[in-house]
Amino acid sequence: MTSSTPADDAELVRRARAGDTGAFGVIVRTHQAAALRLATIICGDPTEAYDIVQEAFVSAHQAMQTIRDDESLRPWLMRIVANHAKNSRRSRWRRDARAEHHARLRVDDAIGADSAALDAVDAEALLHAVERLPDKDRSVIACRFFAGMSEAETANALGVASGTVKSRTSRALARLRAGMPREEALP
Amino acid sequence: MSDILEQHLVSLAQRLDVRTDDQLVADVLTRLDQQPRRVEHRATRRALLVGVALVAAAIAVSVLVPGPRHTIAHWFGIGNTRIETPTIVASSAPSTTTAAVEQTSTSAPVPTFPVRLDLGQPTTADDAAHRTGLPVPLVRSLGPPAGIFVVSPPESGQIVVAYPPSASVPESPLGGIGALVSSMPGIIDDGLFLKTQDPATTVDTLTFTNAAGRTVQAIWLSGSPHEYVFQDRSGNPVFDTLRLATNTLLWQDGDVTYRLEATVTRDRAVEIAATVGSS
Repeated sequence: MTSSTPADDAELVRRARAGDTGAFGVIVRTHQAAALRLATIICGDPTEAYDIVQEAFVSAHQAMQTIRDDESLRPWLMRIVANHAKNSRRSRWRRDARAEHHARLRVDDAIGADSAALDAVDAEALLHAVERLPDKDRSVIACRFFAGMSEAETANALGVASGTVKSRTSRALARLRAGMPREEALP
Repeated sequence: MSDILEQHLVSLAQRLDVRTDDQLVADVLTRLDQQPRRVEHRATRRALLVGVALVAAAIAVSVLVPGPRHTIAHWFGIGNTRIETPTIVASSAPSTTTAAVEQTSTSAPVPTFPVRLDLGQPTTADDAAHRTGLPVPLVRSLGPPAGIFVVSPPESGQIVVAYPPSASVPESPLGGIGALVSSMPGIIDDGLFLKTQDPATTVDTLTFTNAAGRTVQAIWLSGSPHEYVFQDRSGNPVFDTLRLATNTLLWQDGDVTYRLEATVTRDRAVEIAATVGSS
């Protein structure tokens, strides 16, 4: 995952606010992988995730003036991505059966060099188990493990307390371990 | 990451088939290029939304309603913030605050209220109800309120009941306040409401059973929401400020919209909201 320091981010935000679209392009490039993974896990559809992230970055650009000087860029961006993804999932859920989308998530077998303990079959199974987690649990797992965010950043991105992130993470991991993720109705 | 499952999740994330070339960058920048230059200032954005709404309403009113001049003049008052100049500092206004507290039939001491909010002078529950025709959103479980206020918008007034911090409702970031519970004449229009929310604010919908036993629709705003819009009883959009800029629950019962602002969880907010108005 591409990384950036808070100092880098602050400077990029300052330039983007001043109208430097190149600086905003750097922000997109830096955070796109985490954003795409986050959106993919939350919405359950990689094609839709691309559109969601594109839309989220456009929204972020429009809202650039609202980010506080003491606020970290990444959780702020990821909150926007998560909100777009959740809204998209809700909308789609109303018109489609969720099961239709389960098979559309894919893992890339070619990037599995580090994964001696996770073969392709296990990876697919784990991915689909994550996809079947209740929405709130899946959002936390998406932030923590797929967007690489800390507990505090996840709390910020999802607008919940750190303790909530901790408990939801623990609950989600327990469900994954048990191999029996449960479905939960969307609000 | 000490747990094998957590390691697997990290590994899975790295293997998730997502596109990470520069296509997304190009697509986003193209979108930005194609957009009309955006005015970023929040107040200006709001003014633009109000302007659009005003034009549409003016046309509609002139067609449908007799006396359009009068009505349109009313419209142009909507975008103006009519919140009173801050006057409340509890230590300097104990007598009127006491009046409000006595209205709740308790003898608890008057809590300190050391913050300045745009709420004007406190009044009694009876006076607030008489002036607005609205139910006074009292929450017995939060104890005696620090003050009951009638504020605008809308022009006809809304009731705001301020509660001090307590064991169950922590002090808000503003300091000195635990919760604000309000009742407003009107309803929430979902489409317009969502358009006015900052993208960094999380919006969730839910339902719960209120003190009257009715199932009501609610919206939970978490993050740092600052403003929202509702429709008054004439259908006019009313932009209002969330004074505590903290987690907020809005719910609708008939033609009255209620609002709870407090730094509490969603579940706790619903718990409080479900008791509003109970005796």
